Amino acid sequence: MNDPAISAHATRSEAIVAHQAAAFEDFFRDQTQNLYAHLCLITGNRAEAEELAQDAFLKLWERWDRVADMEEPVGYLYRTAVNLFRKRYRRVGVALRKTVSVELREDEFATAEDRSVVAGALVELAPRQRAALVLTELIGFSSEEAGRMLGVRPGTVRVLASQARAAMKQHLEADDV
Amino acid sequence: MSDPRSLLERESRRFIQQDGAFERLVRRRDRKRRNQRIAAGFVGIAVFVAAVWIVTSGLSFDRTETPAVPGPAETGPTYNGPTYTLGPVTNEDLAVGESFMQAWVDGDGEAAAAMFAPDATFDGFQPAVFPALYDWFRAGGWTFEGGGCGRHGGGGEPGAPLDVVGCGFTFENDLTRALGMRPVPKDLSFVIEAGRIETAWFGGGGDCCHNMFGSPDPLRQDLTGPGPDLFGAVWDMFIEWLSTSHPEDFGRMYDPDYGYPVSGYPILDPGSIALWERYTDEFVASPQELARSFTEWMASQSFEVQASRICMTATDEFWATKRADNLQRSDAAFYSTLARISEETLAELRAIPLETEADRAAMDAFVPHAERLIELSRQQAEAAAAGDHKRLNELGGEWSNLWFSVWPPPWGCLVSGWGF
Repeated sequence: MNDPAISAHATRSEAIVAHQAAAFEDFFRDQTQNLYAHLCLITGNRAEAEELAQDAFLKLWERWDRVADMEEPVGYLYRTAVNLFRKRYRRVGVALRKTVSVELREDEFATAEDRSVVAGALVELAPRQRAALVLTELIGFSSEEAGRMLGVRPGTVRVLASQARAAMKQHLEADDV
Repeated sequence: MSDPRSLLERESRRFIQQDGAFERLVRRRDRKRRNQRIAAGFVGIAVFVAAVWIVTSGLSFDRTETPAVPGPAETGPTYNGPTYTLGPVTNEDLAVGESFMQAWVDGDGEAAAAMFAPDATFDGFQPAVFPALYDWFRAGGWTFEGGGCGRHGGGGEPGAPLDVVGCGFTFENDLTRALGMRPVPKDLSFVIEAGRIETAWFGGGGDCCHNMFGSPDPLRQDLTGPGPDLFGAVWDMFIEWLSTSHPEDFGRMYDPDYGYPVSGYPILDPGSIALWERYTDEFVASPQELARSFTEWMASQSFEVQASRICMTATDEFWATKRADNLQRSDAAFYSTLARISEETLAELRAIPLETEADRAAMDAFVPHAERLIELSRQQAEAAAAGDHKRLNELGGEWSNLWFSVWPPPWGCLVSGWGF
């Protein structure tokens, strides 16, 4: 026969787990489209953005009992995603540097549906410039927050974002947008 | 052109995620769990096989046959640089380091470059960069002093940082002089093989991959935040001023992606160097205005950056006072100076507005720790004044235990240094 105390405890634990799972699913559905779109802009690659977004959400899910209590779980989500982007960018960059001396260019704003003047401007930017621009200009992180995500100083974020804005402006003016 | 934010928003709306994202995530989680279980099973089998092999072969755990090249410490800084097969650092290696430092202090770029092996690197660059780098130094009024070398590293134990030749020096430039700063101390580390330098970088032995402006390696997650020397914040402000005051020229002067493994470096061609000289002169033309701008600029930085700067300044002040007054560890003045500077530093830290919950929590945890350290320093001063060496030693032990109980020290605070 089941011990009622254990059964009650088990039921309460199951309820907490179920509640946490539901809360995570709500959070995922609220944030996934935005994160995916922002990562598309940063990486210039839909498949890469999907991978990074899924990996970031998975990491949050594994820590959801703690992340759910945070003041800014969305900030944590973006920090995780940008960290993953940075690591991947580094691995690819190091591999390329070790093999051939070419610039790191993985941008794939190349399919017909992706082609736009703005995409054309973004593809001209270095990945770090795109990341700085998207994080500060579009998402609204401070340069300190973006700096922590990108592993650079706030001043460098401002420089990167400023260069990105200038390059975009030049490109778009040439295209008369 | 529309503003960049509107353009980016419009652009981001074109990227629509495929349906079923949550279901894909669930499958991904299940796949990951399965792989972890499989990996755990393999580890278990491998451990069992290894245990059987050790028992049956009578293998000893004698560590004298460990490889000559130690791996990175698991909990310490990771060495990201190239891997070399290193013998112990010899007196000849130290002599090569000292010769290099002589050329470095003299500004003799060609002599410095000649000491490197083919394919060697300096600060991530080919040593052929030296003559241009020295032109750039001259444009900014950089001067160097010192250059004593020693053996840096972890003593060759497996898992310890690499043993390298480490040389200390100080530098000044037009910016530090305008701000009335003391010469800034810095280290260069060298891997030397067969009398030639294989690689050199700024920082101590296991403290890999800072560039000469104190920027931490942006690729390393454990080294974000302010730079490790007092010049880092000044440099950051200068770069920001350049990028906003002279955006038309800035792109010709500085490349945030240039340099490896640390990115962000001045461009070292003659046209760029002429611009650096012109704008450095402009930046330092009014030292009072510069000092005011720097204070305002620091106040706009994060708590972490401000706290780190305050504690680096305190550390610099303490050790400069120790050198100037020749304070010894048996002197009451050594400990009273430490207590006074630490107390002033804590007061400065408390004056920084705490804007985030994390900063408030960090300070709440740090203040009692710091107050106890200060109290111990006062007691050490009293014991030293009374000539009570036994008590001084006891307090020293307590001070060290307390200091290392919070490691690494938050923001390098209060006063850093080994062997108090």
